[in-house]
Formats: sequence, structure tokens, C-alpha cells
Amino acid sequence: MRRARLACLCACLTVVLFPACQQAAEEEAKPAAAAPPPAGQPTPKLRLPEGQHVHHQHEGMDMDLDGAVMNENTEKLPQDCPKIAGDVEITVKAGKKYARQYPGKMFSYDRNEWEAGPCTRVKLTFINEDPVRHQWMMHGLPMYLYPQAMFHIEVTGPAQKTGTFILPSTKRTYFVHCDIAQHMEKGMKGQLKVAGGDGDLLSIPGIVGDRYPDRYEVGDWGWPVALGAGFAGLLGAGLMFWFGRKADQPGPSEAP
Amino acid sequence: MKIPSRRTLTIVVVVVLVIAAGVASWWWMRMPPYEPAPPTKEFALGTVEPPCPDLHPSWRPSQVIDDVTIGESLDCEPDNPALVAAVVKGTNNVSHTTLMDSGLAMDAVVLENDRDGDGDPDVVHIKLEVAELNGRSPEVNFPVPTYSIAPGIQPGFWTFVPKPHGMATKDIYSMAASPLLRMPSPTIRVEAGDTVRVTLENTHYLPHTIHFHGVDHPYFLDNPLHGEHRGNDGVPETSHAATLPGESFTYELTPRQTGTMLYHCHEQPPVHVMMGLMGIFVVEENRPDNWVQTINVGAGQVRHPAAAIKERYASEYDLLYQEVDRDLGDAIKAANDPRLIGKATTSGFDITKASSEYFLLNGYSFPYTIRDSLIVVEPNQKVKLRMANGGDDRSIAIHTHGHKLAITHYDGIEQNPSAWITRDVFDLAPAQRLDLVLDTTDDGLHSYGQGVWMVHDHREKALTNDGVFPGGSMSLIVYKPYLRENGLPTLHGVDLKPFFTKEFYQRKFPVWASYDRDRMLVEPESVPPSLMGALSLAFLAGLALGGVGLAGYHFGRTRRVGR
Ligand SMILES: [Cu+2]
Repeated sequence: MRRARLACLCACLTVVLFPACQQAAEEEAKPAAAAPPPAGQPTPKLRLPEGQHVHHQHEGMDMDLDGAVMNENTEKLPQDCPKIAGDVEITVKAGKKYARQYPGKMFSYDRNEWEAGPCTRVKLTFINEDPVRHQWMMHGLPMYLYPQAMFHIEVTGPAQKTGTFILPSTKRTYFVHCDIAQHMEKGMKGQLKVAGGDGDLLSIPGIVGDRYPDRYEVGDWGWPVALGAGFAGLLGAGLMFWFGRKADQPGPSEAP
Repeated sequence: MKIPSRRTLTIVVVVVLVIAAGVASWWWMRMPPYEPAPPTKEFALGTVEPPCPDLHPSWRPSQVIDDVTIGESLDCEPDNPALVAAVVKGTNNVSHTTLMDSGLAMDAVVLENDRDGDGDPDVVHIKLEVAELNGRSPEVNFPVPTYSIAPGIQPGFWTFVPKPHGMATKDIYSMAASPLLRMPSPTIRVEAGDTVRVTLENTHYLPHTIHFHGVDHPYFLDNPLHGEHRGNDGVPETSHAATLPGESFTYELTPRQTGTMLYHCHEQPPVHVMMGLMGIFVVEENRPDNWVQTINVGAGQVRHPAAAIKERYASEYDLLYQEVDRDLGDAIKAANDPRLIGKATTSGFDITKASSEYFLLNGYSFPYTIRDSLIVVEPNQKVKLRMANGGDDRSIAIHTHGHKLAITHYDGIEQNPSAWITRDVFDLAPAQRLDLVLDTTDDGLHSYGQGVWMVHDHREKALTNDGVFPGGSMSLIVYKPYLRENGLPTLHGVDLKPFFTKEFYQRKFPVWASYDRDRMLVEPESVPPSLMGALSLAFLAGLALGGVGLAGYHFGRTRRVGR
């Protein structure tokens, strides 16, 4: 349980514990040196492209106007898996409508917990039912197969995307969320358990509560509450009275 | 024991009082002995942030990306050239690397269809999301994603964001907001005559709209994208209901007139505008081969100015002044349930009793303003400033040191040059815009010569962060010889280090402590409590109490005896 919570907060803890990690990430994020303007030549003229290219495929990122799949892995085995134990297909639906069942939330998935066996190959289809962006971002996968330890599907509007990843053998609970500002906080969070998982994460709608819950207005006292409280008060007073009387009675040694 | 008579008692009391008065007057009249005042306190600075983290030195020089020429920007935090290239050429037209480096979604800024055949696209489709900065989390007790306007200051904000791809934070190791998620809402820039579609994709948990302030737009759309007759003015009470969470709405306009305008949310404007949902909207002149910089994230310098501006000016800056009511921003930190936040930001909020604690220029307060809002100039240049007041006070009063600037446009309308007014304080009512020309000719009128000259709101409270000077929306006009390689100006005054600590703005570090060499102005230490003082006070109190007791006893006794 505690370990699972830690995993969930890893993003913020890592920044404290491993500043070197962060620096490395920043180094990595720096773009390749841009071309200097050609000296003495006229600046290039911008032209609208003839045919629209609408598909990008590049270093673990497969992107088009519908969205992107990041770090797809259909073949490479995790070190601890001798072979792929099996294939599963998971379909996740995302949208505002799935939050209706959780008062006080705004966005969610159709389910907030998924199960898969060790070393299985998961083919995940992510269906976005809203005309705004949503994501299914899973953290904690082995870094040597998945850059930044994550598998991520983003769908930019009402559409769907499918991606595949292979799970390691470890019994573990993986943290899944939508990383659009306030989407996880407002209900778009889930957990994927391998071999039953190693506990639950915080704030999973319908499954686990909040570390910092909201405080709501307390309603008026109804008559059962008032009556009950009055009765409890009388009981307490009676008890005290009874004890007092007992203490007042002379003990056997000082009998008159 | 014989009880003293009432007369004896009176005599005793009078004698005691006379002696006390005598002692007191002697104490008052005597020459006081010299006692040294307490010594000066020792102070240590908190953790000093680097004034310029200098993360991207390669972003400063002029460069060409995907055939887009990006002008030099010498600030400490220059705009990302890949982002500039993507919004000039269109996220649908740039290379994969440029799109990835820009952080934008592929459909964020779609540019197509050169209708008039003049070499630039004339149909523009921009998608905006709404992001919350410094919001609440049910799991951790700090604001997420974090956005600081100055060291340690993180008010709650809502802001329009050009549709990004990927995470809302810088990376998986950080809780800091990604560079696209910042204040103010970005400047939108189009060419006159372009068909502009702006889609609000409401990723936020409250309803929002977009109202185009001063920009030519039809009140109704008869043939919009979705083929229906509907409102296009962004005012929920007159035009169309606000766009609910998780829904989207497309506005369409073909602005015929040029000028510096605004756009902002018109749902609950006393709250939503003040929370940050306002940006500058510029309509540029229609020229051939005029690829304008559709989005200017964080406002500030325009690294790819439009053709007509390039002809007349050396550089161009968008300057949006805003103010922040901290208590309003705290509403999004006090609860996670959208219903509770919705109530706290509607019937639970009264703007007539509101006050502003922070003052922003392009999303930052001093000292962070010197990281990305310097106006960098050389002698004999003309620089275009588009200045807008996004605040709620009666007016702002921006003063330029060392320069007098001419007002060429009011609210986007060009004045006859004979009517241009040259002055050094610019008052802007809420939502007002001025186009200014900063002329760096050293003639004692337009410029007094090279240097590092302050630009600040002369409402003195706007020079503070919650009352602590120096802060607020101040920035600098910096002549190039005074600019260091890392984008910070060479300053000749006090050490800036204290201002880059959060302790300074928490009032924990005395203002002059860093340069008062002799330590003659820094706060004194506290004085130890005086033993004699405490003892005599207690003794006197005891006397008084005893006196009252004695009097009471005496009174009772005489009454009983009398009976
Ligand atoms: Cu989402």
C-alpha cells in the first residue's frame, strides 16, 4: 500500500531526490542546434506545401491529427520475461460522461482499474468520446524499453488510437492518468494491476479515497441526531452520579 | 486586633500616593543614565535562485527553422524558436522535429488556402484549451502544475493555451507547468482579411467563452463550420450559452480592420478575466508573402514580425499588464470539487470588495520580469510597443525612464501623425490599448541616451509584490552594450540576490541588509525582558490587590459592627 502510494508520487519525489535525473532530462530536451541564417543569401521564402503530410513517425512517437502513441513496443521482451505469456486486448473509453457516477469529479475513464498477467502483451485501444484532448498515460515501465518509463496514448478529440506494450513479470500496480491540467485531479486516474498488483494508489474514483479530501457544509441536526445526543448526555450524567454515590458509601473498615 | 478607623486608612492612602507621585516625578526629571540600544540583528539570505537559469542559450540568435526566419531575442528566457516556426508556418506544415520541439498539437494552428494568391495562407484555424495553474490536488498539498510569478509566489490562474501535445508539466520529474502553460493568455496575430476560426476546446472543469474585444466579427454566424445559425459574440447572456467542460465551440471571423485588440472569456467576467483568461489580439495589414506569427506565447517580443511592421520598425513587443487578486486565486486551492470551486467563484465572490496584491507584465512580476520582458534596443531605432491594460483598477500609468514615446494608435485606431501625442506617462483604462513608438534617437526628447532605463506603472503599489518593494510589473529598456551574454542587464545599483529569494517577499530579509555595509539601518535585535521591571510591576499589582481586599474587609466589618 505504502509502496504504491510512493510510486504514485514518484514524479514529485524524484525531483527532490534525484536532481541529477532532472538535469539529464533537461539536457535531453535541448533541441538540436538550429541552422544559422545563411550569410549573404536571401532569406528562404515560405510556401504552402503542395500535398499535406498528415502523419509523423519518429523515435517512439507515432502521431497524426487524431493523436499520438508513444513508446509502442510489440516485440522487445522485458529482461525478466523468457517469452510473451499471452495477448490481451483492453479498451478504455474516456470522457466527461464517465464522471457522472462520481459526484464532485468532471472527467473519467469507463473503468478505473485494469488487470493483466505477468509478461502479457497488451493491445490497448483508447477511445476519446469528448471533443477535447484526453490521455491514457502509464508510468513505471522499465526505462530500457520505454523512454521516461512510460507508455502513452493521446487522442486529440472524438477519435481512437491503439497501441501495444509488453508488461514485465513483476507483481505491481501501475499508475495511469490523463496529464492535462486538472484532469487527473478531477477524476481521470486509474491503476493497472499485474498479478493482482502490489496495493492501491490514492484517489482512484470509486476505489480509493483522497489524502486531502474536500470539506462539505454540515447539514442541520435532524430529530434522531438530537434525540440520540440527548440520550447519550443523560447516560453520561447518570454514570457519573452512580460512581459518585458508590464512592460516598463508607468502606467496610470504617463501619460505624 | 483593633480595626483602623476609616480616617486613619484615608491618611495612609494619601501619604502613599504622595510618596509615589514624588518618586515618579524624580524619575521623570532626572538625567537618564546611558544604556546602549540593542545591537543590529544578524541576517542570512535564504536560498538564492539563479537570476537567469540560462537553460537555452542556443535559442537567442537569429535562426532559420523550416524556412521560417526567427529574429534574435537576447532575453534570459527567449521564446522557443521551434514554437515560433510552428505558429508562423502552421503546425500542419512544419517538420516532425519542429512540431515536437514546439510542444504543440498537430491541429493547434492549421494554416492553409492562399485565396488571394499573394503567397501566404488566408484560412487560419487556432485551437485553444483552458489550463489551470497552481490548482488543487487531492493527493499532495502543493499547487499543481506550479507556475511562479516571482520567487515563492504562486497565485491560482486560468489561462488560454494553444493546444499542446503531451504533458502539462515540464517533464515527468517536475511539477512545474510546461512552457506553454503560463500567463498571460497568448497573443493571437492574424492578417486583415484572413478567415480566422478559433476553437475553444474546454479542457477545464468550468464553463468558458471567447469574446473578441474590438476585433471585427459577425454577431451571428449564418454559415459556420457546423452549418447552423448561431451566436458568435462569446457573451453567454446575449449570444450563445457558454461552452461546458469537455465540450468545444468554434468562432469564426474575417477582420477587415487592423489594430491591437483583445480577446477574453465573457463567462462571469469579474472572475474569469481576473483569473487570467485575457490576451492581446492583433490584426496586421494584408501584405504579400506575409506569414504572421499567429501565436505569441507569454506575449513579449515578436520574433517574426509581420511585413508592415518590419518595414517601419526594428522590433516589436506585446505588453499586457494584469493584476491579481490573491484571495480569488486561492478559491481553486481551497477545494477540488468543481461544484465547490464553482460556488466560490460565483455567488461566493464579491469583486466590489476585492483588492489586488500582485501586478503582472506578460505573466511575471519583478524580478522575473527581467528574465523575459526586457525591451532591448540600439541607438537610432524605432521600436513598436503594443500596450494593453488587462487589469480592473481605474487605470494604469506606465512611465518610461529616459524616453518620451509617441502614441500612434488608441484602441487599434491609427491617429493622424499630426495628432500623435508624445509623453512619458501612459494611462490606460481597463481593456484599453495603445500602440507606441519608442524612438531611441538621443536628442534629449525621445531618448536621453544609452543606459538601463526603467519602465514601470507609476501607481506605486504596482511596484510591489503584495506590498513588498521592489516587485510588480516593472521592466527595463536596455541598450545592447548594457546587456550581458546571459540576457541579464549589467546593473550598477544594489545586489539583486535578495530579490531572488522567497524569504525577501515573505518580509523575512530587511530591505537594506544586503548593502548597508556598516549595518546601521538593519533591524535591531529584541531586548531581553527586564527582571526589575517585571518584579516591581508584580509588586505594585500585589499592593493594589491587597488594598482592595483590605477595603472590602473593612467595609464588611464596619457594617456588622454597626448592626
Ligand atoms: Cu483528460
